[in-house]
Amino acid sequence: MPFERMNDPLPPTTMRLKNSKEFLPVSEPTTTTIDINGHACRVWTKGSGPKIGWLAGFGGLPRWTPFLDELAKTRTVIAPSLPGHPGATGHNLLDSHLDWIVAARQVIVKSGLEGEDIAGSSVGGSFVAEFAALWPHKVKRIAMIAPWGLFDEKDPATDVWAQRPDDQPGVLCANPQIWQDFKAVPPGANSVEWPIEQIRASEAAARVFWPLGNTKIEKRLPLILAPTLLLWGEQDRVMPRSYADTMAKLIEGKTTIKTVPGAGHLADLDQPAATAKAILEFMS
Amino acid sequence: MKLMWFHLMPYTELPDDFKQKHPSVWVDIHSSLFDPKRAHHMYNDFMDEMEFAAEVGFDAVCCNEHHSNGYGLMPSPNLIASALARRTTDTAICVMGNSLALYNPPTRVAEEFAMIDCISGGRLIAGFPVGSPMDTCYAYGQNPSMLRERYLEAHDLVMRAWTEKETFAFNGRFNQQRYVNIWPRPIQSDPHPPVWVPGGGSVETWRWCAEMDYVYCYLSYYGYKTGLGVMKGFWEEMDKLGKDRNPFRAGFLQFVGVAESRSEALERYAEAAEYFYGRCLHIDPKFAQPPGYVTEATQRVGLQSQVVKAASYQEKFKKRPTTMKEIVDDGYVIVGNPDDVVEQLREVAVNMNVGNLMMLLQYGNMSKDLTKYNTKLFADKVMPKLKPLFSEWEHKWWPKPMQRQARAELPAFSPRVEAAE
Amino acid sequence: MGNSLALYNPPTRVAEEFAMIDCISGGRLIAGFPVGTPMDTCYAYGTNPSMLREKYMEAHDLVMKAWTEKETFAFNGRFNQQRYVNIWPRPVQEPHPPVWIPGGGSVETWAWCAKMDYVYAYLSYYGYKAGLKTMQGFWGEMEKLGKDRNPYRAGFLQFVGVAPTRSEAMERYAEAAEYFYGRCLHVDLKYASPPGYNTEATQRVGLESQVRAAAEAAADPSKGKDALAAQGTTGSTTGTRFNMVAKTMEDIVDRGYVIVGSPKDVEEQLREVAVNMNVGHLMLLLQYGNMSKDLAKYNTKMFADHVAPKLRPLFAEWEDKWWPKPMEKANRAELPAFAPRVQAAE
Repeated sequence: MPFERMNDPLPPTTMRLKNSKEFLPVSEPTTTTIDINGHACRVWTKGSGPKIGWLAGFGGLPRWTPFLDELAKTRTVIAPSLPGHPGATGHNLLDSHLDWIVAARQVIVKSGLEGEDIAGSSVGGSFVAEFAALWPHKVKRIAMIAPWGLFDEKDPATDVWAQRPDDQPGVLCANPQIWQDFKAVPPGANSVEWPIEQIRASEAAARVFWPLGNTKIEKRLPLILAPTLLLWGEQDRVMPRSYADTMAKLIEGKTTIKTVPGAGHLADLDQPAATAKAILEFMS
Repeated sequence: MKLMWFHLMPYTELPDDFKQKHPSVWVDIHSSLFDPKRAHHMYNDFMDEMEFAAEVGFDAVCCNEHHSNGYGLMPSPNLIASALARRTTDTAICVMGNSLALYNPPTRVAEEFAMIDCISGGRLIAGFPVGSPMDTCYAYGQNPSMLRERYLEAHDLVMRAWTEKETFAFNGRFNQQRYVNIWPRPIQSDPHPPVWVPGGGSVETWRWCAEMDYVYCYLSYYGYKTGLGVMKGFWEEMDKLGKDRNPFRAGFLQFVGVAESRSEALERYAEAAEYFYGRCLHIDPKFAQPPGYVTEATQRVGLQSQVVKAASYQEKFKKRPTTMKEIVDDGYVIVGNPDDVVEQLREVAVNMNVGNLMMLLQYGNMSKDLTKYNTKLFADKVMPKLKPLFSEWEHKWWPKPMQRQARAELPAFSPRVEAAE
Repeated sequence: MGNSLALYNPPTRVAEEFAMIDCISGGRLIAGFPVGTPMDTCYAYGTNPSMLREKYMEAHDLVMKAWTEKETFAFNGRFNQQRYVNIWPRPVQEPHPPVWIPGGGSVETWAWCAKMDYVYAYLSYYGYKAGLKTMQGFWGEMEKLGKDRNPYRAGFLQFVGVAPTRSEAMERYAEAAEYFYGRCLHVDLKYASPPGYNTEATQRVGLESQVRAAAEAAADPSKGKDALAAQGTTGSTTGTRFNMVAKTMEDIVDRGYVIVGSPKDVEEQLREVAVNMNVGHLMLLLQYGNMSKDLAKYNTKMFADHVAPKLRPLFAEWEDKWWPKPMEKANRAELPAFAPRVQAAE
């Protein structure tokens, strides 16, 4: 289900599904900011009902997504940006993985997600796992889509930072067009700052995960007590499916693995409805 | 002006179908293409050539650092430089240079450069490049988001190690050492060996060179036509900062081929040039853009300026001419009879206002014979005419060795006699 | 002899630099991999003593893989992570240059050398009297592990001073030797024992032998001093060794730190050293301390002309499997002559 192209009359920060009349954004998310190490980090909030947090995947959230709208139908979605990801800066103050975990914790706490359900994808998913491991009594349930943090030499994760420009979209999404639309400069946006923001998001991820993506998370996964959902795009070309089993075995909380058909690494972009449904069912 | 002889040390036997069969000359170039026994001869030929260049009167011999690279066989330029220190007497030794973030702790750079400076009696030029994305982020696995911060911190550590008289604790973001106290220490201690910084066209680098009083070098493989815009930007920035236009503040790299006539030069150097631009620069673009390697300020300028864009690695990998005619037309290689070359190089030097020209007279698969021919002809017929250029300026960034009579005498070496025993 | 592996981050650099040297020399490299002293590693270079050996082992694995693996590989270590390891150049010697390990007297090192088929080199400044016990321990361990007694499995460092007569040698080399043992080994003890540098197993062995020596001394006080002297300058830590160093030429020679004498004296003593220790590789320090170039060359020439030829045939019955295997001489590059003086005269 590709998104409509950029001549779409919707506001720049939204996208909507083609052929999906029922889904049209009811309203824009509310934007607030929190302070992380002296840098403003954007928090998007939308919907009503019990809170659910969202830490976005590789590339962050340059715009609001249909997946988040799906969640917002029944939940209050709170989507803060991690340092260096669209809507936030301050990544280059963080030198060690500990610095990053502390920053991610501040992001979660300051955006009001302490003790709530939290979900995250890829890069963001990794921090959901870290938070749940280190502060096990500060989360309810967690859902992670192909979270980063492991590296297995026998089944290596793909190097997202060594892709020819034409190849990158197809590595991240099952439908490359979805990634291209997601990252395209919206009409009226600053044509210099927008591309820089997208590279910055990639840099922020690199700052944590370069070169192999191995944060030795396997040492901390056993500390996770929360009920856990691990989602994996059936066509994930970044994180091998075997990592789901490795993680599930290590996590102490009751863990369910589900695959999302027709989805790549960023399953929430490829298959918003199915991905949201899986998370909402798990957290109902 | 200073005429310096630069060697990249390329592997000279990449196959004819290299470009078709292999994705990249750099990072993941296949080991089956490397024959150590052939490389033994390449290294020895290359070092012979550098020694020859010193012998025929070039002001400096230069080497540099590359990793997992089919056109640059010097992961350790310091090994080559230290060997040269014992086979040259008065020539400056320019290591262009050590990629600081690849030495952890960076103390090693301070130590190794100090060793070379001591052995050579103070003939070292200390180059500090950030290093290419391929070398640093891919082959050496350095985090691109921290590369420049690490580079700058390493620079501070090396400088302090060279100049501080007491053992000190270094409490950096990336390096923490309780006892920094290097032995040996450089001979050039007033205040330290001259520092040259090879860089792309970034304003930050220009400012930093001005602030630190370092030489800025633009080492491009694409000749003066591409380089002119960059050097113009550099001098405009110097003007803004109130620095003089001393041409010795700047260095530039240029490929050259000299022969009796232009047509002869075109013929003689075509194979080597086409080998270099065709095979040696065949780099997979996927290794061009690790995020964070290019600062946001430079990205910003690049999105708005063609000059800076042209200097970026991404641009460099775009389709480039690989036939001799285009290579020469685009000014990548300057060829001709000695007078042609003098004229063109004079124009390059004057237009760019560059006092330090680094000459690549060996490139691609050029043989030792042709390299020596090129080098000798250049030394005999080109160099004398260019040397007087910029004599009105003082070169404040050239090594200041010990007095010749105070330096160690190198013994003669005659391996053939020994072998005959 | 060698590169302290944990001081190169990433250790890929060691694989590259050694490969360059092997290429340039046509395959003449012996690759030494020391852990490095506490002073070098933990103090001057700030490496964490508690991780030093783990880093060393991991770096060793990375270097070996970089030398032998034909494909670009990702290295996913505890301390080093690299996505693309693929060194150019690669060494001439197949499968890799011979590896020699300079080490103290730890059983773990001996067992590791045996397992990896590396040469064990005991590089002590305290000569054969001190080294004998260590080498006996080494050979005992080899026997236990079912390895042969090929003397080329081992290396040993010895200071030597040759002159026409013993008294002349004593005179000629006294200044240099006293300079070395007096000034060069003047190391502040506070840098000797960073915690974790010695493995707990090695600490245990050291403490047990001290207890034993004390017990022997208590049982027979007359032997106490001899026992200590016979022990030479050993000791389980760098610190205890520094404490015991002799500083006058007479003591230095008595303790066997430096072997001095006429060519015949030296030959005899070195033969005894080599045979008793069963060591096929003798590393000779013929320059030490402030010895002048003239004296160093004199010592070297005397040794080369009058001592070396007599010692070379020793152990001829054994094959040295750990010596470099260079390219055929005829295939190697010819080095050009070099005549700096002519050039300087221009």
